[in-house]
Amino acid sequence: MELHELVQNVVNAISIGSIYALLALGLTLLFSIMDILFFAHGAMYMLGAYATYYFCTKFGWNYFVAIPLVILLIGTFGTLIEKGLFRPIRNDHVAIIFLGIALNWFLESAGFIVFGLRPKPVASAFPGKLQFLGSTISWERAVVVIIGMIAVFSLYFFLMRSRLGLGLRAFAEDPEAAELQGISNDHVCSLGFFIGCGLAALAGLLVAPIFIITPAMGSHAVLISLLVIGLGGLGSIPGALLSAFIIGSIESFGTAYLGANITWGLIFIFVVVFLTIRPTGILGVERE
Amino acid sequence: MTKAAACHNGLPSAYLQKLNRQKRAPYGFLGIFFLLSMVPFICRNDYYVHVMIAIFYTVIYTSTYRFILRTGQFHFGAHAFIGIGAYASVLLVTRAGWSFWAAMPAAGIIAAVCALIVGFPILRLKGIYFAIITWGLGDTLRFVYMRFKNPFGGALGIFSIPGPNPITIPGVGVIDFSQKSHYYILALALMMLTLYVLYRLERSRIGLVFGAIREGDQLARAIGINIMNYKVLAFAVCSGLAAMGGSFYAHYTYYISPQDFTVLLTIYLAIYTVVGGQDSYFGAIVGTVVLSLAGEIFAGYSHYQLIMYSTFMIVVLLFLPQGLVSFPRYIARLFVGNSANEVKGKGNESALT
Repeated sequence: MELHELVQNVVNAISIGSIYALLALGLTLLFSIMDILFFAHGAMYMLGAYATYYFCTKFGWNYFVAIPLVILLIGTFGTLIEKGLFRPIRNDHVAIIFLGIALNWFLESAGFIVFGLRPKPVASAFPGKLQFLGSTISWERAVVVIIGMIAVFSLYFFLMRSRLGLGLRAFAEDPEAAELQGISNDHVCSLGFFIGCGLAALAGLLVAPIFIITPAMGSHAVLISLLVIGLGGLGSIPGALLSAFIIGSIESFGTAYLGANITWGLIFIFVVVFLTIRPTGILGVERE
Repeated sequence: MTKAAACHNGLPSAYLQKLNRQKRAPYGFLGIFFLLSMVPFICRNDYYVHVMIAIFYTVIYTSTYRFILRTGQFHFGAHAFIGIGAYASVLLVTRAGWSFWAAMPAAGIIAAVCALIVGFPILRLKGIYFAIITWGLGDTLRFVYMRFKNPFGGALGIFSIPGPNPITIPGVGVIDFSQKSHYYILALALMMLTLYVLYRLERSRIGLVFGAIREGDQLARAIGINIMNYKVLAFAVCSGLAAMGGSFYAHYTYYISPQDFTVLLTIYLAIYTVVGGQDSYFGAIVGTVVLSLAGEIFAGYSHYQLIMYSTFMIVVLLFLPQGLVSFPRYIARLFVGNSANEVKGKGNESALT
């Protein structure tokens, strides 16, 4: 193996890993705060990508104008879903999972009807390539890595340093005690859904110029992020980041040397075997 | 009414009544079998018969899926075992030259043994982890089918699978599976067998143990129940039965490919189960029948079909937490007040209204 080949694979691993990390971030956040698995995360990601398509390609707006608009739009949509559908059955964990599944497939098939079957392109906001130690990376992938890092760190500081973040963490620790301290459960859930869906929309935004946009991209994404957060340990944000990069590396090196199909089989086997040996994932903690 | 109230009817007298009912059950199942088996001879439209056959093998999948859900495991890999059953029986018939009648039970046994082997390590996992791991298992198998062209046919699948071998039944004549009605009888028999096995499991002491495991497995363990053995038993039996359904599916459609056994299949099963009602034995059957028939309206427009299914599921989850089987009770409560519940002895819920 030559050096530039190795560097190229590492660069690819980081770029794939950041996309997976972004995808899994919102899902693992919702799980760590509210202990629910929000299956419709993938649909939010799909809607984010389509909103980008409409704003940037159809209306011709600037990509940077679209970023806050899309996040606000999808985040608000997520909050509405929480208020209308999830709040009445918040205490029934199994029902919430099934509700998320139903919502995901509802939005996906509605997407096929509304947006059409044909994949949609989004023009890249960052054309050009970057040379690095003999390897090539396109600017748009580098931007994914950079914005992904910014999102992770701002989320970290929001959770650890701000009053609202403190409230969210208190709720995650013990909802009843938090309510006794004057933290409104309803507000926490709305905020959690806003952030979770906003992060999904951000992932959609960043991925839109790289991948092809189809309504089916959501369920694929939610399955990948399930693998990622399962391997990392449910509800653990550092674990999700770590496992995103592990899976990204396996995919990058595996695709280069073994081929795409068998790589995905390998990833599945890896996750299954790992979870069988260590059922809490890499950094997960025993729950209940 | 709450979920807990529906399950706490394990009083000794009720249990004895159940045992009594169980003695008569085989006759009931036989009666239903003979009644339903007349359908293709009265209604000679192949399309309707086909819809019925599809409902029958889906009921096999759904009721076994529901049974695993009832042991408290969030199963997401039903497609894995259905796929094992289909591929195993097809390979036994086409490569090893077995008869279908030997290959179908063999496929069920193979899937049950697979479930037994993976069951002991993975059934220790709970909740989402179990879901992720079973789903991963199913998709790993899918990649195996796609990767290895030699026995599994690769991504294109296996074509022109032979139908079941002709058999002669004394007094009836030769059944050579040239007509849909022959498949109909086979699917019906398979479904009634599955339902009977599940009925016996559920209405026996083992069924009570499963209820105990679901309500609180630590408590069940504390009173001396080996919960692992029971969970693995349910997992293996249900996977084996579902695999026999998969074997029938393969020989009925003459074509299988890895795309038939994706996670979407399990999601359909989950939708059928939840819409019908997880808590009731008939829930899975009702859900499958209602949604399959409703789905035929949109046959060919899969997106509209999925929209309808998911709308059904959302409405049921929000307004009818016990599924469609509780709909008559819901209506009764609307009109009669709460007296309809008290008759059934499902606990004191007079506080509800």
